[in-house]
Order: sequence, then C-alpha cells, then structure tokens
Amino acid sequence: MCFVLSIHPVVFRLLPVVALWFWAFAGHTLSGQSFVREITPVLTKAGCNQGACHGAAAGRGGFRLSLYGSDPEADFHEIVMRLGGRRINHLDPQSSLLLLKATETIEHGGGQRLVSSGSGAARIEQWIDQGAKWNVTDESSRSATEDTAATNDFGLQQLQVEPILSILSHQGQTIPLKVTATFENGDSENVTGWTVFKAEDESAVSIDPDTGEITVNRRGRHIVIARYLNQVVPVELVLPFLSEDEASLREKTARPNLPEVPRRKDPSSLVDHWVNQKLDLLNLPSSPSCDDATFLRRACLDLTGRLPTPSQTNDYLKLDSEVRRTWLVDSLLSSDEFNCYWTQKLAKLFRLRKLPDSRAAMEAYHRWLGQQLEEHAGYDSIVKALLLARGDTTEVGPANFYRTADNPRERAELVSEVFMASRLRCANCHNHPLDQWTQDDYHGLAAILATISVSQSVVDQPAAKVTHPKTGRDALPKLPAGAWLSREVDADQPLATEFVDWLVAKENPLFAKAIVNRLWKVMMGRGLVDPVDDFRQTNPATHPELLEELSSEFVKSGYDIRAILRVMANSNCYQRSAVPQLGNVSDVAFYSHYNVRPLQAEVLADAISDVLDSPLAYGNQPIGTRAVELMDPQTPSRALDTLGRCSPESSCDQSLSTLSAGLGAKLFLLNGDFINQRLENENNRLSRWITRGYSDSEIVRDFYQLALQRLPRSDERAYWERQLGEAQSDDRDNLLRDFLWSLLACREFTHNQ
Amino acid sequence: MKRLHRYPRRQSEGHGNLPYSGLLRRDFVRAGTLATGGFAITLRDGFGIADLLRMQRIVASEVRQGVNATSPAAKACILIWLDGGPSHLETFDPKPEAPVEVRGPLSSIATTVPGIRLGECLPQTAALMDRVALIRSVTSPLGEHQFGTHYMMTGYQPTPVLDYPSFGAVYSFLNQEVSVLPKNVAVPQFNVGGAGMNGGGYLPTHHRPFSVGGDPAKPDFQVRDLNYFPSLSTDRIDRRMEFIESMNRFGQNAVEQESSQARQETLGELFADSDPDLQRAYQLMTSSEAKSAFKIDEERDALRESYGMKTVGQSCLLARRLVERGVPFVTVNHKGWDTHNQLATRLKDGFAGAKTPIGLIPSLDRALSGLITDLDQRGMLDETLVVVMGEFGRTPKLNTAGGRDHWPRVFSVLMAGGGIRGGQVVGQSDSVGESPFDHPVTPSDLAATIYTQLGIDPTAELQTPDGRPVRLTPPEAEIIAELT
Repeated sequence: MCFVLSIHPVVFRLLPVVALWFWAFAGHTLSGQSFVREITPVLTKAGCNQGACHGAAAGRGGFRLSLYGSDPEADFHEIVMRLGGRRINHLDPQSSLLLLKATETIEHGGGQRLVSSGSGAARIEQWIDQGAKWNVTDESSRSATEDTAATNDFGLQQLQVEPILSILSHQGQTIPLKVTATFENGDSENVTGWTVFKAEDESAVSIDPDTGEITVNRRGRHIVIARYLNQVVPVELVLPFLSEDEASLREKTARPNLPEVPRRKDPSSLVDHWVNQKLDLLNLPSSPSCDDATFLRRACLDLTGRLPTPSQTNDYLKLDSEVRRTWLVDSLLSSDEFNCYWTQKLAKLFRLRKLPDSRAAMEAYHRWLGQQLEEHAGYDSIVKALLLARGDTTEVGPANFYRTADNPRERAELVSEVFMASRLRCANCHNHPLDQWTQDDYHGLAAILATISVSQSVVDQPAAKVTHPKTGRDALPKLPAGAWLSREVDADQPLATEFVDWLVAKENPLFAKAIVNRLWKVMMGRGLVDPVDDFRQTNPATHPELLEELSSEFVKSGYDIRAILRVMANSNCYQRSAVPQLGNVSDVAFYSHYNVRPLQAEVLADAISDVLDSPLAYGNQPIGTRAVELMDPQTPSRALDTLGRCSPESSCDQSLSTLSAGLGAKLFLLNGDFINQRLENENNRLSRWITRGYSDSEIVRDFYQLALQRLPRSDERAYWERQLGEAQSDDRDNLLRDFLWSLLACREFTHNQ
Repeated sequence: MKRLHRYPRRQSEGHGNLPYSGLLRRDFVRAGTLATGGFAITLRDGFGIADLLRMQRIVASEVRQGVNATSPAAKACILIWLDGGPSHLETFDPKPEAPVEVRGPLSSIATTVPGIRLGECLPQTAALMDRVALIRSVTSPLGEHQFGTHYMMTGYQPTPVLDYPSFGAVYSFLNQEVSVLPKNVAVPQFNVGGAGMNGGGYLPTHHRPFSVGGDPAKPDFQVRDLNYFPSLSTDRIDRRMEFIESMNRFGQNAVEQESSQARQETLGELFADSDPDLQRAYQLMTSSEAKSAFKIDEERDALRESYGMKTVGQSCLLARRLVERGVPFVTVNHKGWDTHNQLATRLKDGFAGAKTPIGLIPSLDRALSGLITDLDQRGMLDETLVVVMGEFGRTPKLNTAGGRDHWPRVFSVLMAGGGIRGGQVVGQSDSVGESPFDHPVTPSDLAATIYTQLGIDPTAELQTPDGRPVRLTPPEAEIIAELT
C-alpha cells in the first residue's frame, strides 16, 4: 500500500489538468485516474470477472461484472449504483462491501481475491476515497444508463510486451516479461503487474502472475497470451529441441541436410526459406526427400484425390528425373480429375448441402462450382459471386450459398468462419475474450446480411433489420473490426455489396490468408494457423512471414488456387520423406517430415474401387459414380459414414486424425460388405486376371503397382511366394482374395505417406 | 518383440474357456487373464507398455488410499447421455411455483423423499428417489452442442491445443483388466453433440467408444459387422489377419531402414507394426462368448419390458449385460432432447394425440427405473455408477414456438449407485431455474467426482503421445463431497 501511495498521489495531482484538457478536446476519452484504468485491471487480474465467477452472463451471488471487464460502464454501474450503492462506503472506504468481499474480510464464495495490504486493494480503496468516480474530472459521476453499445472506449492505444519472442537455451530457464500500456492521451505505464498471462499449454510454461516471469519447461514453441484491458498480445517462446551439445554430437548423422534456402524469385523457395529457418531455430533435423514413387502417389492423392493410373505412372517414370516432379504437378493441376476433386473440396468448404425442397438448386450450385474450376476463376471472384448472386436458386447456382444458414446471425457466423476463418460466434453474447471481435461486429455483420431475403429465391430486402441484444435496438450495420455503414437505403449500393468489396479487397488481412492456410493444410497436413478456422490474435501462425508472403503471392496470381498449390507442391518441404529421423519424431507442426495422414473417406472408397476395378453404389446415384463426384454430402452410404466423411455442418476443418479409426471401422473392413462383397464376387480385376491365367507373382506384382505404386520388396516377394505356394489348387482363388484384402486394408494403402 | 510366424489361433468356437457366462464381475476379473490365453496382445501405440503399467500402478495406489472406506468406488459406469440438452424444468428441477411461462406446460409430482419433486413424466424414478441423487446447480458457459458436450464428457472446455478424452476412454485406458469385450461401448451409437467428437481424445484409438450400431429395441438387433461375412470361414479370417500384420510389418521394416531413429518403438502409431484396433476387432468377432454379451434376447420378456421397449430402455438393458460381463464403461446415447419447439409433445406424448405418453421423458423414466431396479436386484448397484446428463439445460422461459432454447447457466444431473448417497439434492437453482442459487457445480467438478467414484484420482496425470503431462481434470475441479 505504501508503495502504491508513494507513486499515485503525484499522478493524482497532475491528472485533473491533463484530464480536463482531454475532456475539452476529446469528449469521453478516458485518462488518468479513471475507473477503466485503475479499477478494471484490478478486477480482471484478481479474476473477479471471469466466466466462472461474476463475469458469468448472470453474474454470481447477485453481483454481475462484464466478462474480463469488456464493458466497464456496466461494471461501474454495478459497483457504484446497484444495491443502493451499498458496495461502496464513501465515509470509510476500507469497509466498502467491494473490498470486504474481495479481501474475504467477510464471507466470500470466491475466497480471498485480494490481499488487504496489497496494491490491488490499495487502488480500490484510493479510488473510493477519491469519490468512486467514473473519472476524477467528471463531477457528475457519470451514469452508465446511456446508450452504451459503442462507447466502451478503453483509451488504450497500444499494449507492448517485451520480449515478444524469446529463444531460450535450456529447460527451466526463466525470462521476465515487461508489459507497457500506451494510452491515447500519451500516458504510458508499466502494467506488468496488472496484466493477465495465460499459457496456451500450461504443462509447458509456468508463469509468475505478479512479476510476469516465465519459465519454459518443455521443448518446442509455446505461446503465452498477455491480456490488459481490451487488448491481447501473444508472446512466443522457443526452446530448441536439442541443446547445443547434444546437437553437435549428433550433427553428422542427424542433420545431413538443411541448406539455407536463399530468397529467390522462385516462389517455392519462399516456402523452404521460412520453413527451414524455423527448423533451424528449433534445432529440428529434416527428413530427406522422398523417392519418386512416393511423390507420385502423394501428389496424385493430395491434388486429385485418386491413385495414379498405370499410364500416368509410365509417363512419369519415362521423364528425366530432374523434371519429373514439376511435370507431374503441372499435369495434375490441369487435369479434369483436379477439377472434379476440388469442386467437392470447395463444396465442402462452402457447406453445400441438399435442402429438403430442391435437388435442382443443389445441382445448379454444384454445376456452377465445377464451371468456376474449369474456367480457372479466381477465388475472389468465386466468393464475390456467392455473396452477391441473387435470383431463383434452382437456376442461379451461387445464390444457394446463403441457404445453408437459416437467419442473419447464422449467416454472419457462416461468412466469418468460411471467408475470414474467424469464430465470430463467440461475440454473439459477449465481446470475444481472446480476439478483437465485439458484439457490435457480430450484430453489425448480421445487420448487413439481414438485408438479403433467403428462400428459394434470394433477393435484397434493404429495410430488414436485426436487434442488438445489448441495446435492444436495431443493430447498426458494421464491417467486422471496421467502419459503421450508412443505413441509407440505396438501391445502387446495397450494404451487401459494400461488405463484399471490403471482404475481398486485397487489404483485408484475413480473406487471402484464410484460404491459403486451408490449401496449406490440404498439402501439408496441418495449418500454419491451426485449427484452420480459428484465426485470432491469440492463435498466431507457426510461420507468420510465410503465411504473409504466400498470401501476397496468391493475391498477385489473381487468387489462383492452382498457382498457390503449385508453389507448395514444388517445395522441398512438401517433398520430404514421411519417415522421421533422430530428433524430429515428435514434430507435428514444423514440417521436418511429411505428415502421414489417413486418406479422406471419399478418396479411400474410390481408391479401393479403382484397385478392384469394381464400383461401389452410393444411394440412388448411377453405378460408377465416384465418391468424390457426389454432390450431396449426405448421400446415403454406410461406407463413407464408417470411413469418416465429414459432416456438412462444418467446413471439413477438423483434424484429420479424428477420421476413421477404432474397432467399428476395423470390423467393417473385416466383415462388412464394403470390400468383401466385391472381392468375393466374380466381377473384379482379380477374377479377370485369374481367368486370364496370370501367375501368382504377376498378380502380386501388378496389384502392388496399382495400389502402392511400387514393386514388392525382396522380403515381400519371398513372403508371398511362400504363402501362395502353399495353396491347394481349390484354395488358390481364396488365397489371392485374402492377399488382395490385406493389401487394401494395410496401413500403407489407407494412408498418404 | 519376437514375431510369430503364423497369426496366433483364436479360441475355438463354442467351447472356449472364457469365463463370462453367468458369472458375476468379480469372478471375471480374477479369471481375466485367462481370456487372452494364446493371444499376442500388443498395446504399443505411442505409449510404451511399461509406461502404461507404471502409470496404472501409480494411479491405482494413490486412489485406493484416497477413497473413503465406507463408500467403495464403483467398478463400472453407465452414462445415460441425453443428447441435445434436456430441459431441467420438465425433468429433475421443476418449478411448480413459478409463473406459467417458466413452469411450462407440464406439472410436477412428489417423490418418496419429502420435499423433492420431479417432473410429472418421471413417476417411476420418483418412486426410487431414495436411490438417486440430484445436482441441480450444474453450470457451464458453453451453450453450443459440440462445445457443451465436450465440456460435460471430458471435464475440460474445448481448446485447439489438445483433444481431450471422454471419461469412458480414460477409464478404458486405466482399466487394468484384459478383456476381449471393448472397455468403452456406446449404445446404439456415440454420435453425441452433433457427432463432432470421437471421444478418444489424445488416447490411443482403441479406447474410443465402440458403437454397437444396431438398435437393441429392434427384433433383429445385432452388433454391426460382428458376424463373419457370409462366404468367409474362420480359417480365412485367420489368414487375412496374418497377411495384414505381415504387410504392416514389412512396411515398418522399410521405415526402420530409412530412418536414422535408433529405437523403432518411438516412431509412433503411424509406423507401428501392429494395429491394436484390428487385433481387438479380430478377438471380439472370433469369441462367441464375448459376442453373447450382446444377445439381448436371452433376457426374460418381463425384464425386457420393465426397461420399456423403446431404444433407450433396451439400450440400458444391454448396458447392464455388458457391465455384468466386465465392460467398465457404457454410454447409452438417448437422442432428441434439443426441444426448441413443441415441448409437451416431444417431452411427454411422443406424438400429437398419443393416448399413452411415450415421449422422451416417459421413455427415460422406464429405462432409468428399470436399470436401477435391475442393478439393485442383482447386487450390482453399489458398484455401478449411473449418471444421467446432457450438454446443457433449456431456457427458463418458453420461446414463441412453445419450446425452450439452449441454457447452460444452470441445469441438472442425476447420479445413482456406485457409492452415491441417494435421496438428496445437492445444489439448488434459483426460483425460475435461471442460475445456480447455491453450490455451483462445474462440469470439471462433475468429472472429478465421477473419476473419484470410479476409483481414479482426478489429479492424476496422463501423458500425451508427445510427452505432454495432462491432469485428468483441471486444477480448479473439486469433488462434490456431499454426494457420497
């Protein structure tokens, strides 16, 4: 208390002057000895306004604060006005209910939050002593009953944390963080003691809440979030994977290849430049390049969702090894198979689904998406069309986009999740605690999207409105984290057009990054920002510069999906072997080796049909329809359900490891009709080869090539010779069927690696 | 590990020496290792088996000391999951004194415990009130199906950093007994909370809930894909198992040659030479004794009817059969509780104009009372924890469609058996069922309590495959001591 008093009286005496000056020139701008600057941080730091305590939407024990102090005016009102002002005792500040509870001088369900002699209690006591005012200069002790939707200005200009990035040398190493707040009135203050720190991974990082000292206990890259008033800052801590000594001991064997990749014009080198730089920083060795056969299978599966055909394989192998891979990437990107596969991928991203009333509308939508890919339409123009198309949805394909959301709020969530990869939905009921989004952003976007009437016909309805739950009035249209839009009803410039222009503008920091990051995940198995639908200030990219530069490449290319996939596919990073090396086994986020993943349900189902040369039926679709061609994501199919297709309610953003696995899927492979039905009947590739009199070794060899794009290795050849050689003549067919079954169910076939 | 050239033979059909049938659980436990005689069980999947055993020892020893001797920990848990978010006001926390827009269209009834009332559709549960405990002050900030489900089923709010395992997966993982039956079963299916969750979290995939697939209320009920495909014989199944293990092993040999990694064990699940899910599938489908656990038609008709012939009733009966045969965790997934409209029809009648109410709550009432009574009569209630809950409650005020919307701020959970003291209510909601009135209980507290009743220390740590230590429940979780 003495410590605090020794600083603050000086500040107090100067403040009225400064604050008055501000009051005169800047209206409600806050400064100096104000509730916001002095009291809100104390309440937040002490945890009073957490979701589990008084920050719950209903408060707790009859005392209700805004979550993390996001609404200081309401909090001020609650503390000073409510309960007949009983929380504040002007005559004897120390006996104020607010302090008695927080210090647990009287019974408090939340226990002791503040030490009586501590600086937090001192601040509150002093503030009460000064009159418990909103602002010391404001004699009227302002009431908070005014329209508060837009006036919660914290006056905080910048929150700076030093160091923002630390490279540490050993486990258990401690570094101090210093947090400085700069206010709009020019003040700056060391607020380290009032900043709330939270480690994303509490088992890796421990934090002293009072001093801001951080101790890193596990190797890798860790994020600590610093929160003060309405700003959050992510702090990055890197503890390389091996200590210098260990690394140099193993250098010869473990780090054969990690060339510094210079920045060249070639865009693929920018991938390797930043990825290798990070690997170097983390002291992670990288796996060598995969062999040509592996690359062929990998690229075909990732880019076209199907196995390479024998003729594709021949063409590829005929080429000079120098040019093989780039040729393959180019030919895949210009193939019809690419269009087909990516039509479904985009359809999933946009959550295309069949509406109860109309198959025609879904068909129009799907057909239109296919056309966009065939015509190499830029992603920006595709999105513009989705958001601006109007008319009968059975004829105007892109107009169906809005039909996947039932009302303006859901539309706001859909648009923000799909195109900005941001979870605006948290801001429906309260300002997003870990990001910039406010309730005004959420309901402002809903207000914009309310001006579109969605039924079988999608038309503008400029006068429609939504209610802002906090004010109870019409929400004002607002761009997310951007400008308020004029409500003037203007036929030439509807609100939606203004929004879409803003959304797809190259200055929009999220639009290009959101899609580039999703494309990156398709190729690399994990988003640079992960999960890919959770961009927020407190979830920074693992390689921020790379995401930035790839996104500008994307914009420069005219939002060309193929161009950016080509950049990724041609990088060394994408072409690494999946086999881990000493020192990089546990890496999942830095691309030291290719991330092995299970084939997506549709791709696996098609691959099995292709190897068997026998199609699987999907619902009432014509026989021969491939799973990746299905328009309706809910086409009945036990196989696709069991193999783990994603639900149309999300954009297939979930982690790949949640796909098919577990006992049920294995029983399905063993006993289900999925493989058995076709394997046991006569109409499949194996039966034909048997009829044609192929030998055991020919059959084994050719199926290996079809399914795994490689020849059996010597141990495998010997094994199959022995197994098949034992066969009685009447058992040969079944033996071969069992061989083929095991090939189609083994790990190498069901994964991309 | 020494490799077997031929795939080990399963138990011979029909007259194996598995000790399941008709035996109570303790006998099964003692004989448990016999059940695997002849099998090569490999538990390697990112966790070394030594680590696994060590951890189990730690957890087990800590826990036994910590548990009150007069309230023996449960051996199994049946979770009746009310998917979609059940209205607390029509079930376990009626507000007969509240205005009609809060009270809703249904009335309330007295129970065998004076002062405790239940919704009018729960007469049979009301008659067993002395056996069940209610927590009426559960509170969560998460009012979205997937998020709420994750919080309730794991004790952790969802985060992008880590995928947490549900109780069932944790209990399956820590359960030391070796068994052919899966240790974590869902009836009919584990498609909870919008199906975005697999339930296994960071634990190996074979601890995810195994969905039986079929509907036990249907006359032709069977577990999906448990029986051989018609043209397959046991010899061919054996052969396929041997072939695929060999394929995976060859793949791994190649990987080992390519990798500089000295110890192949640490290469991780994706490169392991065996597939634990596949092995378990094989053991299950080739054991007629294990399969008989699912033969619900072996039960007497009168008993079947006491559970009610709806899906939830027969699912509870199947759950009891499984628990009786040593399955430690069964989730009964009762779907359809997301009642945004037509409250009375959906909760009570089942369809408009029904003569006998057969909606969600009457079906639950029969199933739950049937289960508790049956467990009690078999002497299994004390060691079987029954939990009834969903992801959140419903809005105190009816909406314009005559329904109630999502409401996580306060809702109710029912617990019975497994050392829970019945006939009591822990924690109250306020007069309109809007907020906790006292003793707020978080889903983390609930998790800590469930783990404790199952003999697991909620503060114990597990390790993720990449070595991250994770507590079973968050540090702030508190056991609800009043329940025992």
